[in-house]
Amino acid sequence: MWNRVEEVLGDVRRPSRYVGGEVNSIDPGQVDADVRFALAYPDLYEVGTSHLGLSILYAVINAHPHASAERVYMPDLDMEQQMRERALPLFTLESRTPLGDFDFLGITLQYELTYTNIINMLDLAGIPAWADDRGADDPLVIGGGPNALNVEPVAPFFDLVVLGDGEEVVLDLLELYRDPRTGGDRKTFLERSSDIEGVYVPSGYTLDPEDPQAPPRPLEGFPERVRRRIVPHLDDVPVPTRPVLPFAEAVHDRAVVEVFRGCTRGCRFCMPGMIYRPVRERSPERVHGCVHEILANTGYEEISLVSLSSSDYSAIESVTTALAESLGRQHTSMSLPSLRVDRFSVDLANRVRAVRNTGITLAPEAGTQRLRDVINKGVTDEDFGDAVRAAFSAGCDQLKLYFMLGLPTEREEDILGIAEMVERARRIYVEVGVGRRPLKLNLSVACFIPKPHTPFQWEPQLSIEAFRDRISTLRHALPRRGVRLSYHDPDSSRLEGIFARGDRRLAPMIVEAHRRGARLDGWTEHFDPGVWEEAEKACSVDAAGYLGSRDLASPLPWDHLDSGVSREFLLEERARALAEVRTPDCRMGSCSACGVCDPTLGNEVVNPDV
Amino acid sequence: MSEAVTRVRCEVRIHGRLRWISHLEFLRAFTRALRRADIPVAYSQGYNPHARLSFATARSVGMASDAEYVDVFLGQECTGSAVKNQLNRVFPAGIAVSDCRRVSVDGPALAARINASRYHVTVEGVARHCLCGAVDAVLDAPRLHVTRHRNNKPDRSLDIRPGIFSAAVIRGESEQLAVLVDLALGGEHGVRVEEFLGILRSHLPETEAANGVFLPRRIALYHRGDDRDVSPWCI
Repeated sequence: MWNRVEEVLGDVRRPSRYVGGEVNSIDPGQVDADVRFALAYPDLYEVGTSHLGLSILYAVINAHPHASAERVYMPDLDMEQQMRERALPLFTLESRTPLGDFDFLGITLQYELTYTNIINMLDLAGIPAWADDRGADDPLVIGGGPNALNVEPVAPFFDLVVLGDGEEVVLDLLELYRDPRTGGDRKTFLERSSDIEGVYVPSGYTLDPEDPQAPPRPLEGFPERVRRRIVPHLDDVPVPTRPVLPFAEAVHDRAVVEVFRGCTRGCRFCMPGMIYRPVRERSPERVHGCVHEILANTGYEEISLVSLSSSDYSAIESVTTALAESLGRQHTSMSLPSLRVDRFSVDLANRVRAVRNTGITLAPEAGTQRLRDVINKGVTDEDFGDAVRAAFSAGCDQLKLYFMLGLPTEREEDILGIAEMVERARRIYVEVGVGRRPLKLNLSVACFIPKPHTPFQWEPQLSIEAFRDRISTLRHALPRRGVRLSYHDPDSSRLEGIFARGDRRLAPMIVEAHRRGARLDGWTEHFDPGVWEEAEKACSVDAAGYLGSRDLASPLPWDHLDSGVSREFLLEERARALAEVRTPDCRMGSCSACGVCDPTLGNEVVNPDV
Repeated sequence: MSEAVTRVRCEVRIHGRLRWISHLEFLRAFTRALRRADIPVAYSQGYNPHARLSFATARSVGMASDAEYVDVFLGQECTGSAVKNQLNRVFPAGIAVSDCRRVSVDGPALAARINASRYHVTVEGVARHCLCGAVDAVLDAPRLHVTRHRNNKPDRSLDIRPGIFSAAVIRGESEQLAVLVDLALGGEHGVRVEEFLGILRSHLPETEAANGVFLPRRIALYHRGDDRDVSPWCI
C-alpha cells in the first residue's frame, strides 16, 4: 500500500495533502491500539484540517490507551481519478491503511453540500454506502457535527449518529465496543449503543409510508426521541493543544482556542445558536494556558479565540489584554472571528490585532430595524453606525457586510434598507477618513435558508427566481460605484435548503447525483445544478415540498432528534418574530424558557459581573 | 524588531514521505519550526514583520534532498550546533538539519552565488550497459534540445547540453545502479534534473525506457567557478 501511494503522488496536484507526516500527527508505528478510528472530513484537506471538532476528537481518541485515530479527507478530482484507475482504495494519511480496515469511520456533517463527498469517500474505500448493506468486516460508520440534528437525508448511510458534543460519547462508544459482550456483534453493538445519551441508530427507526413527512418511528428497544449530548463544563474536556500542523496551506491557517460553546443571543435564523445551548465558557486561566501551549506546539503566527460570538465571552477584555502583551513580543497576532456589530466589538478587534488593521467584516443580516427585530439580531442603527465609525477611525478602509435576503416578512423597504446602510457607511467613511483613499466596500448577500430546530423551521425559502428579483432590486438601489456586490449561487442555496429540512426519502437522490458525477458541490467550480436536476427527476423528488412552508400542527422529519430546545419555545419565538418583538439574551435578562437547562445544567459564565 | 547580529546557515535533508511537500510548504514548515524551537530569529521592520530567512533555491515537489540550504538571521548570538539541535527536536520525521554553521552576517546571499547542483539518481529496471551507453550518448551529443512550457507564453525550445557539467554511472549502496550528475542551476543554462532524465530516457532502448524507474535525490549545491568549485560553507 505504501509504495502504491508513492507511485500516484507524482501525478497529482499538491501531493502533500495525501502524505501525512505533519507535526503533531500520530506515528502509527508507535501505537498499539485495539480499536482503530478513521476520522473523515468530507471535503478537501485544506478545508478539513482547519476543523476544530475533528481535531478535538483526534486528541481525545489518541489519548486513550487502547485506541487510535487517523485522518482522511476527500481527495481532489485528479487524485480520485488516479485512485480509480489504479484501484487504490481510500486510505488514512498516518498509516496509509484502507478505510475498510478500521473499526470505526467517523464522518463529520458540517455542510449539506458535502453529502455527495460522503458517498464518494465510502465508494473510494469500497465500503457500501447503505448501512444495511454493510457486514461484519466493514467499519461502523458514525456521523456527527451540527447537521446530525437533521441527519435524515443521509441517515441510511450511517450505522450510528452522535448528536451534540462528541468528546464523551466517543469514549462511551469505545468502552461498549471493547466490552466482549457487546463489541463482537454488530447488531448487538448498535442496539446497546442507542442506550448511550446522544447516540442515534438510524436503522432502529423506519419511515411510515403513509406519512413520510413525519419522523421515522422507533423499532422496539429504541427510544422515541434521541437527546443531544451536552458537556456541562468546558473546563472538563480536553483542548487540542497539539493540533496537527498541515503542510499545505489551510483555509484557516492559524491556531484556535475555543473560548465558549453555545450562544444565547437568540438570532431566530441561526441553527448553531439553538442547537449548542447553553453557553458554557472556558475559564480565562485555561484559555490563557491553552493559547501559550498551542503556540509552543505549532509555531503558528496567529491565534484565533473562537466561539459563535467571541466578543460575548465575559472575560474577553482581561484575556485579550493579557495575551496581547505577551503575544506582541513573540510576533504573534490575535483574531476574533464572528464579531458582534457594535463599537465594543470593533474596538476590541482593533486592539488585539498586532498588525495594522485594514479590513473588517460585519454581519447586520437585515436592512431595517424592523426586520432585525423579526430575526432577533440585536443590532440597532446606532450600533451599526458606531461600529463602522470605530473601524474607520482605527484606519480601516475595507468593509465587508453580510446580509440575507428572503427572511420571513421581508418587504421591499428591507431590501432598500440594505442600500441605505451601505450609503450610511460610506458617509461615515467620508467624515472620518478625510483625505484617505476611497473605501472598499464588499457587500455579500446570501439567500436565507430555513434551518431545522430554529423558530423559522416552518418558513418557506425563496425560489431562485424571487431571490434573483430581490438581488436586482438591491442592485438598482446601490450606488453605481464603490460597492462590490456578491451573492451566493442561488442553485446551491436551493439544494442546501432541500437537505436542511429534508427527510430520509432524499438519500437515493444523493446516491443518484453522485453516480451522475456530483461531488465537491460546495465548490462553485465543481457544482453542477444540471446533474442535481436530473437526479431529482430520476428519484421523483418533490423539491417544492421541501422548500415550502410547513404546517405548524404537523410533525417534522427531525422531531425525533431532540436538541433540548422545546417545540413550544420555537413556536413562541416564531410568534414573537411575526409580532416584531425581540427576546433578550438570557445571559443578561430573564430566562426565555427554551427548555435546555435543568437543575444540573445552565449557562456557565466565568465573569457574571460583565 | 531585533537587528540581525549573526547568521547561521543550515544544511537540511528532506526525505521519505516529506519529499512530497512543496518548496513553499517547506518554507512555512521551517519558519514554524524556528518558532517552536524558540530560536531568536531576527524580524524585519515594518507593519508586518516577518522572520528573516533566505533560501538558496527551490526544490521540485517529489524530490528528496540532502542539500537544502537555509540562512537564518538571528537577533542574538547563537552557535550553529545549538540551532541544529533545537531544530531537530521539533522537526517532523523527514526533515532534519544535518549541519549548521555561523557565517558572516553581511556575506552574499546563497541564492546569488549557487549555480550548480549534484544529483544522485537511483535507477531500477535498466541494465548497466544500457545505462552507460545512454549516459555516454548524452555527453557526446553536441546539442540537446528540450521544450519548456511557460505559463501564458509560447513554449520555448532550448539546448540544455551546456548546462550538463558531468554525468557518470556508479554502483551505490547495496549494488544499486545510480547516475551521478552535475547540472547548472538557474541562470541562462539552468537544467532541471527531470529534463536531464527525460533526455537520458530517450537514449535508452525502448523497453528499458518504458520500464526504467529513476529516483533523483539532490546531494549537493555549490558554486561552480572558473577554476574551482566552492561549497556553500565557503560562500
